[in-house]
Amino acid sequence: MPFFEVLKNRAQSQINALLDKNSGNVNPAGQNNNHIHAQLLSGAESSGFNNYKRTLTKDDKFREQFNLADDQTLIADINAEIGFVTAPLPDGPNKPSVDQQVLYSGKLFLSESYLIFISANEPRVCSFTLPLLTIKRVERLPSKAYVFALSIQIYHGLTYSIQFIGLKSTCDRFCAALKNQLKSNLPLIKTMKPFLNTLYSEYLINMIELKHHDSTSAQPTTIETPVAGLGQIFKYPGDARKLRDKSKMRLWLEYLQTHGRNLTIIKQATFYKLIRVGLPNRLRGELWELSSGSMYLRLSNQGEYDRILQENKDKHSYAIEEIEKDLNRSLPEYPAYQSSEGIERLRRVLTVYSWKNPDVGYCQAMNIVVAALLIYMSEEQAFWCLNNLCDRLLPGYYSRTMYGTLLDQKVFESLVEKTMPILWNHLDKNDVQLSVVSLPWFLSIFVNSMPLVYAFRIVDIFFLEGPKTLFQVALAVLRINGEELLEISDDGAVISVLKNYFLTLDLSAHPKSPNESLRSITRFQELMVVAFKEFSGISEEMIVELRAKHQDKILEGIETFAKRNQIRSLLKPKNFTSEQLSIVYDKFYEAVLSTRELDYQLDQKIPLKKDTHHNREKSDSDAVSTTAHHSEMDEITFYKFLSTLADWIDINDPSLFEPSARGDSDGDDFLSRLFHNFDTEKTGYLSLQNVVDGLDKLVETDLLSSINHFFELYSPCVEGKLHKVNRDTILRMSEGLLFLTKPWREGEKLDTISMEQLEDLDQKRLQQLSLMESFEEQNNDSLDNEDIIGHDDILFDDNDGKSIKSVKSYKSTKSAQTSSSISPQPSGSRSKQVNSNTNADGKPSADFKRDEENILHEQSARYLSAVSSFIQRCFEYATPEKEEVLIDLSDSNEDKEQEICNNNVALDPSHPLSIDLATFRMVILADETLEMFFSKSLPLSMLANLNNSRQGLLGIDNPTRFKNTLKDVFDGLVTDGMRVANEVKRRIDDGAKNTKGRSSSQGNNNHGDDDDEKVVDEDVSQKDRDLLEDL
Amino acid sequence: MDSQSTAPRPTTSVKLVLLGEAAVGKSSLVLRFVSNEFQENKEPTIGAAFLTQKCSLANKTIKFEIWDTAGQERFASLAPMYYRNAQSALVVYDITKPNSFIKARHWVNELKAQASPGIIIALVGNKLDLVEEDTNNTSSSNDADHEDDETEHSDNVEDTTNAITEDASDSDSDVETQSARCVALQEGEKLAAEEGLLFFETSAKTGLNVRDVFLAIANKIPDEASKRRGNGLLAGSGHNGDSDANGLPNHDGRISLDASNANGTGACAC
Repeated sequence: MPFFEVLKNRAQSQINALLDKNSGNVNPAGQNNNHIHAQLLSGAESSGFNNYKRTLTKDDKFREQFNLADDQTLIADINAEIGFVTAPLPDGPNKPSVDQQVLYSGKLFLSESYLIFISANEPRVCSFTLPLLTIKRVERLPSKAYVFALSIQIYHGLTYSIQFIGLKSTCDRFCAALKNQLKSNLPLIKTMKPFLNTLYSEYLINMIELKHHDSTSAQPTTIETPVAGLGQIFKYPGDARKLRDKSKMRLWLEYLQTHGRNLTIIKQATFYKLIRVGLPNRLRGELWELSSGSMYLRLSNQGEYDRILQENKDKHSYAIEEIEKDLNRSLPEYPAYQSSEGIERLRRVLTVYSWKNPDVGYCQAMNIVVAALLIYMSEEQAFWCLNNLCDRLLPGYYSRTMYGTLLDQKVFESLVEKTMPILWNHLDKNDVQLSVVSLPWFLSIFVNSMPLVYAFRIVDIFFLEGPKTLFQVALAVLRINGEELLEISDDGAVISVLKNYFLTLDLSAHPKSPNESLRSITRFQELMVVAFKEFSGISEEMIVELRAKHQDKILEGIETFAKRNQIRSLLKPKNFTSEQLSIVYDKFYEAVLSTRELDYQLDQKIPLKKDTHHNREKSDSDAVSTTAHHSEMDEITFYKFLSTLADWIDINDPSLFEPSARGDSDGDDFLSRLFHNFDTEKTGYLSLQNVVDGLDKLVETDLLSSINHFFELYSPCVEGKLHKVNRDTILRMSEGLLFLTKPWREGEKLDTISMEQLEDLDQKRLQQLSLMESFEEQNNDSLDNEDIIGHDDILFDDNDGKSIKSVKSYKSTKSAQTSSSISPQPSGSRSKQVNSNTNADGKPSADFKRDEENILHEQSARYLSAVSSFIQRCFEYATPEKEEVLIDLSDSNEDKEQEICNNNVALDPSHPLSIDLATFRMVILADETLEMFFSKSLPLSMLANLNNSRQGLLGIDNPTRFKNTLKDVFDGLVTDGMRVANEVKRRIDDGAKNTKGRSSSQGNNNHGDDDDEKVVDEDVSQKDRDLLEDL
Repeated sequence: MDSQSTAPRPTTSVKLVLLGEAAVGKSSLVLRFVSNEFQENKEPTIGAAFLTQKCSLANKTIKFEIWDTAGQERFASLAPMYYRNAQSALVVYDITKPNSFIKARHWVNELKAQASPGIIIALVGNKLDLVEEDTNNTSSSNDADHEDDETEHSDNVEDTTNAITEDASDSDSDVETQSARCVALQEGEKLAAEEGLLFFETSAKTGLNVRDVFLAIANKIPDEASKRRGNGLLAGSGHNGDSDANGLPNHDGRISLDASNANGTGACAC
């Protein structure tokens, strides 16, 4: 299975897991909690793209619908009719209180902290999200007959009357829940006052009320002005008069006075209209955070901004370095960002965010967006707004892989294709990549693309309407410039045309029109109309759907890119092809991911804190490699990983993979040594580079290097010099050898010596075959029928339709033969062929099989004796050592050692012994089997696994091993007996097939495919030649 | 093409992409080249910026279509979108930032592996103005080898004089240079030699060497084109696909060969 698919699946389950966790539902026994996977993939931001493909719970939908924080759940809902009564203003607008008589029917929702209403059918008619802590009092209204009604009064006097619709029991339940929640929100009420002090709308209305008070009473009161955006100091962009800022402000004041302000605002049609025409400067920031929902986030996280700022005061990070580079380059034309005041604010917001969400850190374009926000918002407001942007409005845009950006570009392209097919075809034909043009629009919400005044108008709507706004505006830009774009044939020109368009947004859209009112329409107004009228059909659902559709492809692309880059940035190993490296890469990450999955399931509460921290440090320091994920493996993971490549590790051996059971196995010591040998920086973790370098040594076919490497594992290396190895370690070495040679000892694999013997066998077989052929031609009838029939099953095993048919035809031949004593030979040549084939498979097969078994036994014995003579020789040639043995590794083995000592004088502990590399080398070279093992059997078996095992998941019951065993048989056969193989090919085509069929039946297994084998063959023979030269 | 007699300068469009770490001065190099300006605080490029500039050589006009890309690490996955079909690339690093040099090496590798084969790459060490005062000190300046280094690249005229003043105020200048230049001239040269790249150290701020970079690329372009054509002719294809006007390809070929000889005289009329 391709690697990205594994990732995809895991990301998928991760999404579900995250959601379950967030919603407070207890996730049964850690199903699918692959928290890290999505992190690895996505660059690890908290929610992001996970939104697209998940199955939403009721609470998710609820939160999503109303932009609520993750801690809110739906407690109760009920149908209701709502009316509003504004508190009488002393001298307020003489208009009657808004809609005093009008009742809105809709649905009322209750969560932990909010009372939410939304009108039925058309939500824009009336809606509100009322924090419970703003409610001053609740009264039950005298009800008429069957109507159940409440009156809810807000702190500033606005009163809501609520008539519940439904069964009395339902109403009672809702009221009880409301009462409970109001109670639990009581302690929070004191946090409301300081929060209100940060809001300009509050200040504005209070000031007006105060004026009235002052005129009546004599007590002068002052109210503190809330912190404003930089625009208040450095002037807001654009001409306030031209923007009609004052009249906009008046309209808003009126609305706020009658419909509730900030947290308690009731959104009605006018609210949306007022935003469409552009927000007044002084209220812009507040309304941004209100319509995006980040105001509620700020309300429930008061003080967090300052806390994070303080906690990380003097800390440094890679993100901060990146931020520093861009501080002076964020809207540099705006005066505030030429002053330290502006720069400081920008720095603080960006750094605090990088601490708050280190997985995102800092992404270029964030500086521009935040710089824009800070013109209208306080730092804290901008900070929470940025949070909301990264999590919800621009999901995954600023992540480490920027998959969100890439994804939305794809979505945009598909929308262009759908809505403007002619333009799309034209661009496509001319190989213009649209995203080259549109990417910056999305990434910085048009702030960098058009004059600020206009960009802010789009931002106004974006915060209200969400991501679809960006698509609508971008589509409108293309639609308006469509004709001009159709005459253009390269992406450079497209950029120029659109750049010019953006710079002339203030010009008349119809300069030549005789109609004056038409002439007065600016290009920007035209853009707005096209975007929100013509493309009103672009809905949130459509975007979500398209994102889900394209997500896989984007992830695949990112993964491919990361892999390519990582492999390229590896220091090139000597013994691997790039295909093999790619397999190592896949296996490496498969192993890392599967361990994380496991660990996460084992302990959900501590999801690899240490590990991720470790990785983060790494990624910070390692600024060069472009990767989607930085990962390393620990020891156990390494064993698992290695087991997919090495035949000598038994995946089913619990002693290797369960820390509790470790310490008893032969392989344990060897593997641990191998791990620490690979871990050249001694970090306790292996990076991909470590693994590749280590494996490179392991598959080294140069005999001396291979021997050296093995010795290196056991020799304490001091100051670059390999030390001598003492007695205990010699024993360890022999254990290691035993462990390593297991597949050969147990006959799972064949080494070259056995291969040669097998070849001889084959040779004989071939000779016999040809003999029989000639024999047959003379004596067609003299076949031992019994024997052939006995081997029918072998032929069927071959999976070759032809063979099966052959058997049938043979049988028919046979029956024909038995029915009449005359031999009719119904299909002459064919039956001849059949006979010869079956014959080759037939009679001598049993003998050969016996011979082969013998060879296997011999091999097994050879290995055992090789290892035992290894110990003997080691001690024979070991030099006595005077000094103390420095390292004693063998506490647990004392008994065993004692036993051996009794049998062998050389093992007498009173005479310390040691061997050096030269001696060790000599001892290995003295034994043909071991020599062969180091130069061929071991490295080639691993390389073979790399070439074949694409299916090698860490699975249990993996058939790979057996397949490989057989592969090795073939590899070896052809490698060392090219002559024979050629002969086979030359002489009879079917012969080769049959040989394979036979062997596969003998090995009780399937065989691999031809192509792979050939590749290996050449490889191997090449290496053999090298080896010969070396020797 | 229409007025061969008056202006026999065929215009060739060349796609050029700039790559390199964030804030090494890619956009500033382009700005200097295109409009001979310098902005102290240039906004970071989001995605990529596109500019064009014509460059007139002795016998040829090259129209550069310049793709200036975002430098931040995470934008790297977007880069293939911009360097696809590019005939030339500037890989830029900041000579005061060692990491940017490592990154440059990475980009060179990526281009070699992924971009159009035969892409002309120029390696550019920018911000020379930050270290220009001590040009002699181009090596990463360790005291012992100091003298040797100087003799090695004595093509700098001021070398000897500077060396003397250096010796006088040894400690001071050492500190300065260490904080300023971190990537030695030789390191850049070495990488360029290994990978077969053009190599320049520039200052977008002062304009030093900026045009030379683009000129060098421009001069190399016709070379490549003529080579390609030569191959085409050798292969026996009498008909030339690249060109619409009959006979022009040969003409082009000759001119471009001349142009390559006249490297030094080529003037950028921009």
